[in-house]
Amino acid sequence: MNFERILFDMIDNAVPILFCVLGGNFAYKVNVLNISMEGMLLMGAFSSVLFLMLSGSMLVGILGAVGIVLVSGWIFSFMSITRKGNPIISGLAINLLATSITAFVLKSLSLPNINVNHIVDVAGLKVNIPLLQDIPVIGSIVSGHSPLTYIAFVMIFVSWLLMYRTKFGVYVRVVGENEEATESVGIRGTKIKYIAVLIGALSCAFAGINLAVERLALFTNDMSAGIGFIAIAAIFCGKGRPSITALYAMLFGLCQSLSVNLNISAGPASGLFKTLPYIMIVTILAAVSIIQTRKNYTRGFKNE
Amino acid sequence: MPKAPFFLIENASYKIKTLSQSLFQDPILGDVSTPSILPSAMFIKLGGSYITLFFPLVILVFAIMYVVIKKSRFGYEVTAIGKNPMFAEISGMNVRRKIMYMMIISGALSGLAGAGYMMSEKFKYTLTFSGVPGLGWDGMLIALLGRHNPVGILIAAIFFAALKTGADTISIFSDVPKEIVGIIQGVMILFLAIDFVNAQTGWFKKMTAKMGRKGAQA
Repeated sequence: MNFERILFDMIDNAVPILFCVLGGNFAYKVNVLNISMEGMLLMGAFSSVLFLMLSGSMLVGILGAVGIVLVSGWIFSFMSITRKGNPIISGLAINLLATSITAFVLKSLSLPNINVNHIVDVAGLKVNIPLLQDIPVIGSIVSGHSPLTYIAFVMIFVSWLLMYRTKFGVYVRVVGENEEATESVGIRGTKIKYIAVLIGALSCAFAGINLAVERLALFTNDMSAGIGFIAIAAIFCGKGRPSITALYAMLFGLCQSLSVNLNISAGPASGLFKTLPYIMIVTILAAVSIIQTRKNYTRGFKNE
Repeated sequence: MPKAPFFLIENASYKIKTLSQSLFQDPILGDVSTPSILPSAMFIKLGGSYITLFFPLVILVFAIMYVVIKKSRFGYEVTAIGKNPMFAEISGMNVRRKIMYMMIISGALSGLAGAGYMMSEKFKYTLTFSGVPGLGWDGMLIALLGRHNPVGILIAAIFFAALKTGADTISIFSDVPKEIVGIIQGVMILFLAIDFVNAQTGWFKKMTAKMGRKGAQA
């Protein structure tokens, strides 16, 4: 059991969850539950690697991923905001489409997975922070991650700023509270909802890029492995507040890193610890919702 | 956002889905798997067909669920809760308890589906036991396609099973990968979510109106 290794992996694993959570907060706040983050993440991972393989340039890969994910985000928002479909069902559709489109394209290219090891140098992408890496324990935990990791942590602050210190953030929160009221004072609720969902899509694209390009330089089928759903759990636990949801994202990252690191020393029962993140999520969600409902008791059944 | 009848019927459909799969599909071997179950635990095949004893069992369960949803007090309350939980609560239904019952029933039905699928077709547990998007997701889609109506769900389930098994045949005899079915399902669910064709043209309303007029004349 290596303590530093676990914390290092925690930061690594938390990054895609963190991106999803920070983007998904906006969708949560405008009252459109974006269940399709899983699919968007998968699309981001897939299209970034695909464009990278086709063009050989990092920039094209990133732009392609962002573009494709924004399109899927636009489809989601068109279906659930403009046409007023049930966001859960259209989100489900996006998830299904993402899994099957990626599998379909892989099959048509007759590849088991897309490997871009020869284009992206994973070890070369690691950022070593000059002064920090010399500090004994902290240095080995904090330094040596990929660039998007640090951007993710900066994004916590940026999304807090956007949510609580700008006009747009106020609009987002108000539209979520009461859409009719905002329409009556002349704020276009639909537009705000669109932007909020698209912010979520954008950050899911970056989560996908982090997962596929930066960490592995590889895309395999279903590599998202429920990260989007974990992010939804984190958003619900933190009620869409950036700092607290980020903390939950870190917690779930810790669970994932524990499951990987404990597996190594577990021996025959190694599969057992793979369930750890999921059990933790159920437990944490249950605990948080019990605490929250105890705080504000409503008579009867509240449909939320 | 509890959509109570949705979950209930979803799982009813899940089991029908499973039955239809056992109706059409050949067993496939997996890589990582448990040892096979003993032959004495397998459902026997009826006659020379692929239909096993699980099929009549599921039809029985389907009939029971139909009666429960359509004819019983519990089913009526479930439908009412799905339409408007607040109203149901105010008119004296115990919504929390009913939702719990529904979850338990849906869990039981899904469990039955899994067990039947295992004992009539798979015979061993593999990592891709219920397929990659999962039979449960298919079940949700079927519930949507069948408009949360038991008979509609039966038709939708058979349609989906045909789609899935048809995909297997397509991938054998042509270059088209069978993942195309996932894409078709995704597009379908996307348009169903907003009731696209009907909302754009209103053909269903027109048709029912026409039929009503004809009925009145006759």
